[in-house]
Amino acid sequence: MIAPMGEQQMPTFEPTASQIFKYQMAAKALVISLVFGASPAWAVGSVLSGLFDGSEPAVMPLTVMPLEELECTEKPKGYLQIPFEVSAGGTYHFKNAFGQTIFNSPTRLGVGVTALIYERDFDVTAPEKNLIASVVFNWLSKRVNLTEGTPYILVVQQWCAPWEGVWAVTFTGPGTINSDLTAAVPWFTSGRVTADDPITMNSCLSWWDIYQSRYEHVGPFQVSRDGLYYFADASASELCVTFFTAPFNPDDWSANYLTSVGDGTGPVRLEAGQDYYYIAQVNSSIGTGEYFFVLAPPAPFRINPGLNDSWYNPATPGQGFFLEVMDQLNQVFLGWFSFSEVPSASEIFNHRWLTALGPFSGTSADLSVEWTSGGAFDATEPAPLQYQDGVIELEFTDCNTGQILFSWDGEDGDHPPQSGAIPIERITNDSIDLCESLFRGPGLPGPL
Amino acid sequence: MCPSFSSRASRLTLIFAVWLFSTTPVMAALTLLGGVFDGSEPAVVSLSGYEPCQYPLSYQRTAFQVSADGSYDLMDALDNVWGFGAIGFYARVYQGQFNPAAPQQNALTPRDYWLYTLKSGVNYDLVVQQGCESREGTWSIWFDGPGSVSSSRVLTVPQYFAGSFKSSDPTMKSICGPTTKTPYQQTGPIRVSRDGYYYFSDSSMKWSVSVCLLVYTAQVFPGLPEANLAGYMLYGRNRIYLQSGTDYYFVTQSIGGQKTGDYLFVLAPPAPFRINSGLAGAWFNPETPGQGFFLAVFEKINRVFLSWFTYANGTASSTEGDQRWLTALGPFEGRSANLLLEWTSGGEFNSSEPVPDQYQDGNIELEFSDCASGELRYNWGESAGAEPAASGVIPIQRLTSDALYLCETLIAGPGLPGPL
Repeated sequence: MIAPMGEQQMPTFEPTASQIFKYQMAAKALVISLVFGASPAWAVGSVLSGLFDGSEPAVMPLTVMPLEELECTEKPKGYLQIPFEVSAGGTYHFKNAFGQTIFNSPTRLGVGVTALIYERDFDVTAPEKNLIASVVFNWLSKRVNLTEGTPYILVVQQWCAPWEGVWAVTFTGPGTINSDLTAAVPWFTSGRVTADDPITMNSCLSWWDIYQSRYEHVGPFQVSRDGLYYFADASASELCVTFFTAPFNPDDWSANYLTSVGDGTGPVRLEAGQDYYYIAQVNSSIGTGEYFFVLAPPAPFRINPGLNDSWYNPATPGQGFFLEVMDQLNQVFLGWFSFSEVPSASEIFNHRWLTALGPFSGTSADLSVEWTSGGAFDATEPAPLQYQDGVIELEFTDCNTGQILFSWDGEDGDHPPQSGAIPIERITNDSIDLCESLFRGPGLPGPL
Repeated sequence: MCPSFSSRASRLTLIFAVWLFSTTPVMAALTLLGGVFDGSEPAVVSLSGYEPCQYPLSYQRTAFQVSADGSYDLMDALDNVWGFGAIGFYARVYQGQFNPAAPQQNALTPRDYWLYTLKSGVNYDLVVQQGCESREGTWSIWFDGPGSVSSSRVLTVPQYFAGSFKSSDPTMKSICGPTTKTPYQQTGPIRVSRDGYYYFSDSSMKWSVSVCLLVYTAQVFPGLPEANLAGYMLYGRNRIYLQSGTDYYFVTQSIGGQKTGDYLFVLAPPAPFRINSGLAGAWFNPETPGQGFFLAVFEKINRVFLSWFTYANGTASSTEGDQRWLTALGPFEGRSANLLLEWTSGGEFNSSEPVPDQYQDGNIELEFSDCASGELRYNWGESAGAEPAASGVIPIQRLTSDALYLCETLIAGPGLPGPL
């Protein structure tokens, strides 16, 4: 089946130039905008993006889908305010970039947000005041008229579960969106499929039938680091993007094929230093039009509850560590089971254990060491004696490796002064996947 | 609307919903098949061909037959509650037996998506395959066709999951949103077997009807539709917290473009708790502060690893020399784990020499009630005279509730839809 082709124009975008596209960087912000030739109607793609890290103020949901998701309205959710202006007045479409990702998957691929646009001022005690448009967590886009020179405020609020992580709101319209959180948009994440473009199979639809449509061939491009990148479609029409590790060969579809992403969202594993190419196909009835997508890089690793596990140094078997990361309290609790520094003939086991507790930030944690003695096995009395002496610095490289730096002076106990560094790793790799999929782990989209 | 389904509600049977065309001898039926992916399934390459991952995906094979020739439409019964953690899966029908070594062999080609032409007396295999997420959890598929389906995986479901709104039904306005009165049907009293979130997923859209499920704690008063209302679910999906021992009245109301017509939904119970990685962390008995446990749960190898930070048995001194720690490792199933105790001695702090001595003596049985509490039973003999024989029972709870949410939403936790 051949997709119907014609000379119709997209109702929203009306590019007339035959060239692929140009891009320009807005001087004020790191915006790379798309301007379509000398066409009188042109569209610019912008992305505003940031992080929810748990430190945001919270308020009851500012807006919800009517009569839906009752449990999502029960608790305050974090919100952020981002002042912005537009470089040109007109109609803009905006949407939650990760909306489709979240709808398609219950896992935490990005943060679902409600995005609200206010003119001039936002009053959290009167959230209806000055509100001119809003869009809920899902993939639907909303239209809003914005005027050059008018100050606006984008308010993004966590939807439903207050997950930490990256949020992104895309805009397409006649101008750029200028704000402190405007993200740089790589040149290869937008373009246009025209009626002059060649036709090939549409891999996003081919499982239904042999479906073909026009495509734009883009590349080469590279990414800055290895990992799973997250495709999120910001186009007016549904987009299918098929990635290759060499220029696309229409006579040999499988050659250098990497993966296809469609249905609004999908992961793509990319490596730094490798040249990539893609073909973009618009899944609309006319099969042509402008497109714009977000390719979010993998999130940087940070300490998360997926590290809750047993850890050890392979050089010292028979002793080790257990960890609990308390994400909401921002604390790490560590248990260390080891032995005394100087074996005693009077001791059978020579056991020593200690605990440590402290806050974490990013990949590191600073813990205070607590020494405990004087208790009896499984007994309430006597109450053990506890005192603090020493510090432990935890530094994780990723979800499977880290280092413990420890020191204590031993003045108040029967342990001598000690300090040192211990490389640690998990005793099994069983929970690495979990760690990488939690919160802002590398299994999730990172800051744009 | 499909007018031939007009009398569906009155023909439901215990096992599957069956209805007759009122004026024809042709029989149409609904059957629900379901199962649970628990991580023990074999895996094969993606059967759909459009999953982006390259690794094999787990699948379950179910033999079935149909009672009448015709077209059968297969529908994911939990399709609308992905956002609440229902798993994504792909289903394919094979004539004869599915051969994982040749996964396209015997595969039937659906006429449209999951619409298959099937014949009575023919042996078929239904193969359900996880998506790339490879998460454990419940799957369930409605078979909508001219006959019933016989299979070991046919589920018994309540009759109120399917019905037909008729012009003769009573009408009301409710919080579900209709601006005019629409037909409703009431069932009750109904009790659920356990507390938790129940997940509503509406499959009525193919008949141009949308159903809103209102849950009341007493019979509905049409003039006061919000009185005794415990919750309501519309737009195809939502969840509601229900308690065992409470009488509920379920009211289904038509809210779609058409006021009358057939409807079909499921209300999936919360998944039963089982041991999962969200239990990893620090646990203790509040009666004995200053000692406790750490847990690690290894899902893929089905093991729990425990460390116990405590003191010598029966004696107490103020020195650290009376500290004792021990470890235990063993398999888990459901909510319990049986661990072998390992005693370690003779090492030196942060040193590779001397190599500690290790031997096994004793057992620990872990039994969890939920993500926040459990019980630890221990016993050991007198090995090498190191510690006197001991046995006992210790109630344990988390040191903090920080990871409760994680535990309840991981794998088959109670924060996810469970088997119907």
